[in-house]
Amino acid sequence: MARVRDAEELIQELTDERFQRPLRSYGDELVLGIGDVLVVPGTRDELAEYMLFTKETPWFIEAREERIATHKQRLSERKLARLHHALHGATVERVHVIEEVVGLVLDFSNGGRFLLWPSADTVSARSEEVLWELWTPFGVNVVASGATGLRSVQNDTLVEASNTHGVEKAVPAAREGDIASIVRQAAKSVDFRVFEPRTRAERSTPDLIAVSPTGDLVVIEVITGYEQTRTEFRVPRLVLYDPTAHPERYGLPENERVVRNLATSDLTPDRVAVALRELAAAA
Amino acid sequence: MARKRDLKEVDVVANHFGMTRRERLLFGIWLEDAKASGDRGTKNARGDFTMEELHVHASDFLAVVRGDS
Repeated sequence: MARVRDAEELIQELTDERFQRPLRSYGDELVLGIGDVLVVPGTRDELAEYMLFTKETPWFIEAREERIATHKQRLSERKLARLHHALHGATVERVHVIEEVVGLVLDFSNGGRFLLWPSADTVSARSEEVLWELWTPFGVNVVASGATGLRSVQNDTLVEASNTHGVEKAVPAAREGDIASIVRQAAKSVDFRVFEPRTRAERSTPDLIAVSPTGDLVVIEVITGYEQTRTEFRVPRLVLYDPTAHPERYGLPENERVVRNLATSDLTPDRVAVALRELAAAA
Repeated sequence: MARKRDLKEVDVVANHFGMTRRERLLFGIWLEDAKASGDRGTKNARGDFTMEELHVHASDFLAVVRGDS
């Protein structure tokens, strides 16, 4: 079995490899494809043996001492094409690791230069958040973070929960008080009144009840785990569910125009207000 | 910081579905492919995906890359 190589050694393997193409990953993330073409089932694009995922880290591409593209603007097709053109056919001549900021500089044979440069603040926070990641053909990725610098990680290990902390905090699913606050704000904007039942005899008892200015009723149920029961309410029902709890089983069937499902992760007063108005109209 | 939030949301979904690092990276490209081929999300005018849509895509993606039925 091949030994797990250290991160620095893996990065240096980029030397003499040919730039293949830039790719865009979800979230406007630039990915540099370097080395031979790699075809992976499930992707339309041809990938590359080495793929440098830039995550949210600032990057720049310079050609002939001119900065031709940066992370600052959206990664449009035009920008990708410009980037492709600037490095087309070039090979990686030198690889520099900038230890202070866990950065990376690739010098190409045509004079082009790619700089991946995490901000000093990000690095000094010593977060475990991944700053950038290099996919290699050896079954091992190089992962950069402020907390651990560079490390090599088998690419069949699971995505770490630490990468998700920021969102978990932002998702209001775990905090029903926040959800109630959004609902109340939404209701107020469309002149609905919101009541909280004083007793909750059963699990299916609604968490909140909204009443439209004309007296139409909307039941609001908050589901932060898969505990719902399929009671047959005959009144319109707004279900606020946590999509991270059990994604394959969330919400209720949106039948007869009297049920709307909204994910707590996408909850805004505007969306709740629209749903309330539609549901009340369907009553 | 839309970019940051988008990436974190994908990380949450990847974590939830027990994706490997390799799968997580490919999943980002899969999602971008989906948008480019017209299967756009409803989160905003850019066609980004809501959490609900990300879950559906993750399920489809894993069925392909893991060969699940």
